[in-house]
Amino acid sequence: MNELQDDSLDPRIEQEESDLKPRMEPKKEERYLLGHRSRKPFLFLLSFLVGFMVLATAIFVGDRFMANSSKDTTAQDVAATEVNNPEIRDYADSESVQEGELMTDDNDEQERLNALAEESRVYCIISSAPYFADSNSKGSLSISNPKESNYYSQVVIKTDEGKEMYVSPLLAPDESIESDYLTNKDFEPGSYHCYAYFNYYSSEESSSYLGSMCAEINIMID
Amino acid sequence: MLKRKSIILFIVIFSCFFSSTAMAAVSVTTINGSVSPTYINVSAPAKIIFSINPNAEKTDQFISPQIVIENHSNAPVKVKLETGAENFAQSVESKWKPTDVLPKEYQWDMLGTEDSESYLALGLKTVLGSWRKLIREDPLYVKEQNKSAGSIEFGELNGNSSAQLVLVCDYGLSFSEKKECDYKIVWSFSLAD
Repeated sequence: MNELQDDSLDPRIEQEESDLKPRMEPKKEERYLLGHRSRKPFLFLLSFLVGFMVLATAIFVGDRFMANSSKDTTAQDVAATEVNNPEIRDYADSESVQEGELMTDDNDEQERLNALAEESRVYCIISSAPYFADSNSKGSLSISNPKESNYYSQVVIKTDEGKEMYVSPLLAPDESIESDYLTNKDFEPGSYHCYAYFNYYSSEESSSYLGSMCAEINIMID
Repeated sequence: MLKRKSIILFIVIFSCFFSSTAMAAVSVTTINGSVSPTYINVSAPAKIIFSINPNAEKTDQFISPQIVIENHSNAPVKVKLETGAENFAQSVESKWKPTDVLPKEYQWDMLGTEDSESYLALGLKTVLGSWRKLIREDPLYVKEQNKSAGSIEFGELNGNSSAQLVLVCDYGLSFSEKKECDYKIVWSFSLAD
């Protein structure tokens, strides 16, 4: 019973097992063949990619080369055509030809720029010291947009601190304001150093803004 | 004799009384003067356009218009420039917007296209002449003033007179296309001290 259960002690069984082992594990040649078979798709894909890249590079380089050579060829062709055909062509109208060297007339340009600057002349007219009996009374602003002006103007008066005190209506050329109420009445009696900004427009649209000038004035509120 | 002396004394006293009465009447007369505030009345160009011709002789390449400031007031006025990035600066609408620099920052005649089209040193300069008082003779460059808000005084004008300023500029000479550039200036005026 014990003999039957413990086979490892039987030398015959050991011999039989050792004969069976080589058959279960692959031999060296067999292992190589198995590995080769598993890498084959990978190598195939790799060689395909390498081949594709080489082909793409060749196409790109070839295209560039052809483009350059065709450009050179075109330029050379044009040059060759001109050099080999030095005939004087007919020109119907030669009025554009002038005597003397090519030069610009600086005096004309100077006059043109001076004229443009003069056309854009804007005016700034206001009393240097408007007086208001109180913040609810009319004050003597004496604002004017003279008839010589080509532009509309609007006056915005601000204090040193930037607080808005007065905004005029838009004045067309040849219009003026002798006296007016402060548009912001929130000011105590006193003397205020202010900036009167004259904003100029070529039309009654804000988008036509040209520029600004400024007058320093003193506003007195009693 | 005594009677004659009494008459003379009476006449003297009588004359003194009447003359003093007359003087008292003159002393109550008052003089009332009224002075109106002076108007500030000035004019200047709103649009200043300059041109650069890189193909011309050096002295003729940059052309600035004459900027004439007119004082129509009867009193002298100060001419100032409002400074800061919003006042003497490129217009928002300017088609060409080079970077404002100072003249000494570049060797202008050596600039290629890229730098010529990227940098400009523009300034404003008084022209000697009919100024009542000239405060600033050196050019004032855009870059020099655009970080300081306030005002810079150029000079004073007499009543009913005018004076000139011009633009000065340093620039490159290589441009691949036509360029147009607009700057805005805010002038400021006040009565002279």
